[in-house]
Amino acid sequence: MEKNKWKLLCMVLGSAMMFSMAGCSVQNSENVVTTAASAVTTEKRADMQATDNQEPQERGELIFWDKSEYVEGYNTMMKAKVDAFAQEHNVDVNYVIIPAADMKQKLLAAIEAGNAPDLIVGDDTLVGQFVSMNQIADCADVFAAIDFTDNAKILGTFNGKEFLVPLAFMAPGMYLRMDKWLETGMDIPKTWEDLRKGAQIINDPANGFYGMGFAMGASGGGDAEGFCRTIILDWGGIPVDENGHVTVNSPETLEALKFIADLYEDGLIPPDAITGDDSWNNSAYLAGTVGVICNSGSVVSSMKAENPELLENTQIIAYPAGPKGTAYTLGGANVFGVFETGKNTETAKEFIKYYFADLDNYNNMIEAMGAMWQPVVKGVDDTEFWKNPVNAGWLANSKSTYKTYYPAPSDERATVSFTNQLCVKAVQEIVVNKTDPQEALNQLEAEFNKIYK
Amino acid sequence: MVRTKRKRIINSVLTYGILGLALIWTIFPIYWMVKSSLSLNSEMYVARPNLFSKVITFDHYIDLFFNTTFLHSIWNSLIVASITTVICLTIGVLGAYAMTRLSYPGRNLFRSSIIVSYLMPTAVLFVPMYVFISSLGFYDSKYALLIIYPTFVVPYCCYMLISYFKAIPYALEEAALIDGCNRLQTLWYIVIPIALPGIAVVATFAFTMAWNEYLYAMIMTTSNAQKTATVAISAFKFADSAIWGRIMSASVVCSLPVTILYIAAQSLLISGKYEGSVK
Amino acid sequence: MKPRKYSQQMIDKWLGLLLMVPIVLIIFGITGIPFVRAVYLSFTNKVVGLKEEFIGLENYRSLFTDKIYWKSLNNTVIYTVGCIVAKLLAGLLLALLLNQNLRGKAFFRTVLLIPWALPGMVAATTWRWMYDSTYGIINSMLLKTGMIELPIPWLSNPGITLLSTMIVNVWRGIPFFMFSLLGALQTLDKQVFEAAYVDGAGAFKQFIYITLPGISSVLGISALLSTIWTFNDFENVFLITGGGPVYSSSVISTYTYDLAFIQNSFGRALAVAVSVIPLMLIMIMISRKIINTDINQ
Repeated sequence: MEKNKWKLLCMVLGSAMMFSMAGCSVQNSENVVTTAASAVTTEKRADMQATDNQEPQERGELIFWDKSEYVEGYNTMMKAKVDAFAQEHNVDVNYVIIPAADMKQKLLAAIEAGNAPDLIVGDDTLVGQFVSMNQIADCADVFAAIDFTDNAKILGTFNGKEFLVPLAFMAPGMYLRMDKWLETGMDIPKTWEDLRKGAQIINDPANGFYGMGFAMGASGGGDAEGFCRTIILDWGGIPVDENGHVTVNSPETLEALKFIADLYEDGLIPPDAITGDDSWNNSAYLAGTVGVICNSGSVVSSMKAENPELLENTQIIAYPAGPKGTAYTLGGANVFGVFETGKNTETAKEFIKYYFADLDNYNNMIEAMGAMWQPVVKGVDDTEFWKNPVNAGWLANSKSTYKTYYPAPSDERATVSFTNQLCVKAVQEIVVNKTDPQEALNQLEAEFNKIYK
Repeated sequence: MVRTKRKRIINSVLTYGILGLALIWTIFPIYWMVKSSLSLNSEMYVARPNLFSKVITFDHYIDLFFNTTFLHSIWNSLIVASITTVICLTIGVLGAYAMTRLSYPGRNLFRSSIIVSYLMPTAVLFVPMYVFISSLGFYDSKYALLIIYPTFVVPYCCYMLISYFKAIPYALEEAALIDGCNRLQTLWYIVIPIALPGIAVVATFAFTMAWNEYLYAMIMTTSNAQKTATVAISAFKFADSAIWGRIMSASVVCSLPVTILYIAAQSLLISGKYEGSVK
Repeated sequence: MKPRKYSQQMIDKWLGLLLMVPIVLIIFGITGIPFVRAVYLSFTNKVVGLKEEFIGLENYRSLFTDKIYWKSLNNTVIYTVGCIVAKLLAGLLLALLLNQNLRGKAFFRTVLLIPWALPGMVAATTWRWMYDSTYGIINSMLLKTGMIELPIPWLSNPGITLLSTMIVNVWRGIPFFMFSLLGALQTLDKQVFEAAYVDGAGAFKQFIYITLPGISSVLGISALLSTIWTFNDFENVFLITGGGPVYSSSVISTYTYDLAFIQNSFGRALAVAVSVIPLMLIMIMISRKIINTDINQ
């Protein structure tokens, strides 16, 4: 018994000593243990044993929190550019990659604590929220220095000023399972009604296949709300007009909401769509369990890596039109956000200008990202890549894409009403709580009015 | 103890039967996780999946070990969890002993108020906590976790050890004290040996709590060099896609150290240690 | 034997206070400071990044008419009570079974512990995958064996979503009770059982009069801790249903997250968190009375 007690104690103390000793040695070699995709160049503000390693001469500093992308090539190439910038401009850049799920919480905590990064990349609705928290710097000077397309400039305007510097468009596309659609004998659907008819024919829930896989979850993403708004606009409804008046409660919107609710209630969409987050429709399509989804080009990248056969059976079609004949595509973009509260705002802006100065590199990154990215600057459209009919559709979509909260003016009320997923929640009221559609629409109007008071 | 043969058979059947069911209930999701980590991408998610896959592949593990820094994250987790366990166990054993055997002003108050650590959900508390900890100078460091983790592991250790210590009759220590031992000696030579199964349980669970924690680790560590294992797993998920092969294989690897610890701790669960010592 | 200069009582007193110092530092220092700040912020209209303004009880007043708040509270109580009862009973049963001299004892004890070894998000992600109505294995097997005709909507039917999350919590939590109680059972003196058997007490009587009192303090504490943890359980619900369709599986922790990080009202989120503290204290007191442990002996 004595032996066992000693065994425990020795085990515990020994391991602790071993680990702390090893820990010290690992710490010194920590900077060496990295992979190409995500190395940290320097860790000036590393840990509590911060050894004093100030360089003798004045070096600038830049803290850059980049978005983590499925396509690793993106982060690798961005880091390469960052390293080159660091060399040429004598700056210490702390480049880290933040996963999507963590970005907002880390940013909020960092802002509260006063150690926010200087530069971030995120999608426009995310960074837009920080504008309304007075965190993002005005980048009119950056816009003046770079040749953005008109559509890109519209995207970057927020509250009347140019805060969000576009990095790349993320245009949406409609993915159709051609092998299934051919069974319907119909042409490529030109209207939502056509799509619905075709979906009904191929719908086979008993065998685990649903005609449609549109996102309908309110777990904080953008896919579902984007889908609802697209239908509303196509039906002629206008959630908030260009003067900021709430005009959502109209017969057109009512018809639109009923249309979406019917799709779900007719069993054309898997029931789990209701609780899915943004990745739900991706997974559903990749699993081969749905016939059509609306998404950015991320699914193409996933298919290339994991399911090339599915890619062959997929066709990207133009968005179908609603009863009014209009077919809206709503999309977003990846943008740079320069933090005003960071210490190195000017350096961050320098980097952005530096980045766009090298159009070849930009082009390479676009091609690496495949269908996920479309250019925001002039001068990179005319390449072999975009001439390829497979890719041309994405480019066309990016040029005709409206902002996700179109036609409301670009301000925090628009981003808040979008990120709070008001329209999705109204549809959920109808299908889950069996609320009368007009009643749900009245509630929706009330919610909008709370934000647009 | 003598029992009738029939009773023994019934007892066995019931016991093994229930344990068997418990085994299936427990193993099934783990089996699914392991199976997914060994499946081809094309079989990763299919409609109406089958229980068994036809092909097994180790590609995901190879990908995980050679193309990511996940192993380094495991190392980080090991350091953080081990040191946390040692710190918390020491404070916990000493504190629990004091709170059960010694009498000093405010003892009852201490015992009741330790619970205060758990009153606010981490999901919101982490923001003011981060502000506080970074004001102490920590930024992107796993060592910050060594300060934060004790805040929820120490109360657990104290409370569990208090209840284990209370179950030990005081008579033994009384005898020792009369014989001239001081308090710490009675703790070391008498209480700890008897409570060793309990202490083993507390130690393994303290390690588990520190190992599995996600939110604070995510907030305190940013760069790959500092991340712990749970944070590293979430890095395999993106805005709307995920590398499931890596997630599943990383999940399996992440569960291994704690499982190994549990196996090692089994040897310390010995029964009836102080039989006859009262006499 | 050297004569004692100080009385045993005095030594005890100083030693006791000394050993409390690290606990005070950690629990009241490191937790306390953010906690106090959080409580203060709950009385403001804090939005992260902006300066807060004191608005008194406004946040709390708004909770009275907040339907989602009451729904979340209701769900949280159901979730907590249901999970604790299930985990406690199952854990106790398994601990009793494993306390015997079995073949393969170590095997059972290790394997049955593994759910607790998994990180919360790993368990939640795996179960979510299993629950899916198209590519989930649970529905797939139930359909293939003909036990059901249509897939069970674990994740979409508002009446079932909370149950789905509870199942996962129970799956993860049983080992905690099992192992803690096993440790307690091991410290019981076998001789007392033998004496009772000689006196004619059967297995059931032995359980009620010897086993239960013997492990009561550990049982009580495990129940107490698990109650608090289950009450504040966030990852589990969030990752499986995200709060469920139209908040049907929303619990207080996911609602505070929603308020803080999706609706950007940090002040209101903290008000929600603070408002349930009295409830938690009541639950703590009740669970202590029921199991009849008094850590304030």
